[in-house]
Amino acid sequence: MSNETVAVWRKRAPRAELAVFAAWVLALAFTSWAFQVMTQDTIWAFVTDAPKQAADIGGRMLPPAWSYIHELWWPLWETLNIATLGTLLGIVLATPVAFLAARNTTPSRIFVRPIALFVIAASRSINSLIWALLLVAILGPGVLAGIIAIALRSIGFIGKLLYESIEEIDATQVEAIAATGASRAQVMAWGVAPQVMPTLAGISVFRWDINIRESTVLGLVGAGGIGLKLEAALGVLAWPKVTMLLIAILATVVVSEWITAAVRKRLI
Amino acid sequence: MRENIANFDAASIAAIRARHPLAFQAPLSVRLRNQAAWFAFFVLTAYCFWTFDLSPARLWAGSGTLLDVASRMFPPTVGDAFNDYLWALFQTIAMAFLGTVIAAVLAVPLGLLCARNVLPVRIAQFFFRRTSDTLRGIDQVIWALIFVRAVGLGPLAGILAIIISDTGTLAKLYSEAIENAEKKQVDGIRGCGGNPLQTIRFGIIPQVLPVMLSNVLYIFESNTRSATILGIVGAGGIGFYLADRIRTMLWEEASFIMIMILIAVYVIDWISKLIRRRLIGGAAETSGGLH
Repeated sequence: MSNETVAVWRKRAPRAELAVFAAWVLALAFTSWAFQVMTQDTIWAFVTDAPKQAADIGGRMLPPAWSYIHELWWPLWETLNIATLGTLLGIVLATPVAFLAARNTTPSRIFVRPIALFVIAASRSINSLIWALLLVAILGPGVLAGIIAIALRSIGFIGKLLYESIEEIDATQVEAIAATGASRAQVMAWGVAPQVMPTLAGISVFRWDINIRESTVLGLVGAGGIGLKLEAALGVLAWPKVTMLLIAILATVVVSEWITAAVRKRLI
Repeated sequence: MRENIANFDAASIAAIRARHPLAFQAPLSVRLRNQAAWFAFFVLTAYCFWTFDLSPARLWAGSGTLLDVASRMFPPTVGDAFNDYLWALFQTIAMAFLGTVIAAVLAVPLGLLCARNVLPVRIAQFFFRRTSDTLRGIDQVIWALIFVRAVGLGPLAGILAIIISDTGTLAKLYSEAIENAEKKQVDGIRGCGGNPLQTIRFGIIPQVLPVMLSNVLYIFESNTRSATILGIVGAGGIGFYLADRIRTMLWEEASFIMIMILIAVYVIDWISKLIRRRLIGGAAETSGGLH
């Protein structure tokens, strides 16, 4: 009898328990569905063979073809330029878009802001490799396609982070400038810009780091840089050269990450 | 005050300028340095544009083609392969999902080993950190390209590429979260006589789990975007069709596939945002309840 009056302690209320259980069932169902979708097209002979293949390739990859590095300086320089010039172009294009998208600086919230937001979303959703694929078809293969692909992809990233920081600025400084009788452009230049400059610098360096990484693969679709060499080396199964390329790419990425960290530390 | 400012004539301004020159202008050396830096920057940029033959004429010619291509992209047309596209899109999402799940699990031990407060051995930590740097330093597409050579064309290569690169990324994010975890709870468990594994399980994991899950969801979002391109190098998914339609210049079908990708990415972003808000909201709630 007394049993019924004693409260039974549980971690969760029954409804919460049910919700957690349902979430687990859903996750499991989704996983098994995903597995099924995956395995439908898999040729299992390849999979069972994979460890042997991997060991074989691993054996062939060593030692790296060290002397091949002399042929890689120019592609590396190209890659660096694709990333840097692409980022610069991206900043130039993204800044006006961000000002048009920010709620407090846009000339029209009904017409201009949605368009600017759409530009940002479209640029963000399409990967730079797809941009490169499109641009190679339009402009022809080469570094130019790579630079513009990187720039187009960067618009969304820089634009989004920048317009969010413009929306968070301190309004009192803007009002102070406006109260002196400054024009719209002067308010932008002296009230808004100084407040977002450090953020813009931080975002740009961050994006540059990402762009270095992305520009290493643009060559795979013909947009210049070290990716072209990688595609060529993989195409003829020259594994020692592939190792050398991977080392070069990794070194570039590590150095760019190091520079980014150093610059960001100084900015903050 | 107002009159005071209005009363300043040119002479008094000049006097103030003479007394406080630095308030009006940076010192000559600083100005020269800044100008030199800007000059070097512009020269280098111009040189780079010149070496890579980026002339306005080329851009102008390209923009003509661009308009032509853009006009051919409308209206987006399905073609006769809608079911193939849909299937490939599902495959892309499945790749991103499975890859993320497996990477999320594999990254837990690596993340713990990378964290300074779990493994305070400098050399071991250096080794594990460089391992995760290597995994994420090489782009997913390059991993995919390598795995395509190793296990053949198809989604398996794509999944392996996602697993490898995201294990590195997540290990880094996890280890950062773990290093930011509070020490008190760890000390508490240790003080009760908990062994190292129990310390991790009850002292660290409960603190960092919401952050970890939020990171995983973020990576899943990013993977649905990046998995769309793995097909370009033959690693399964919708990218294969997109690359094929672009290379054969079937622009209206390419634009249709791009719209499909956009919709899928939007839907997944939206779902992930909902879940993430609940997770972080839930975490805020519990910590709010404690105080």
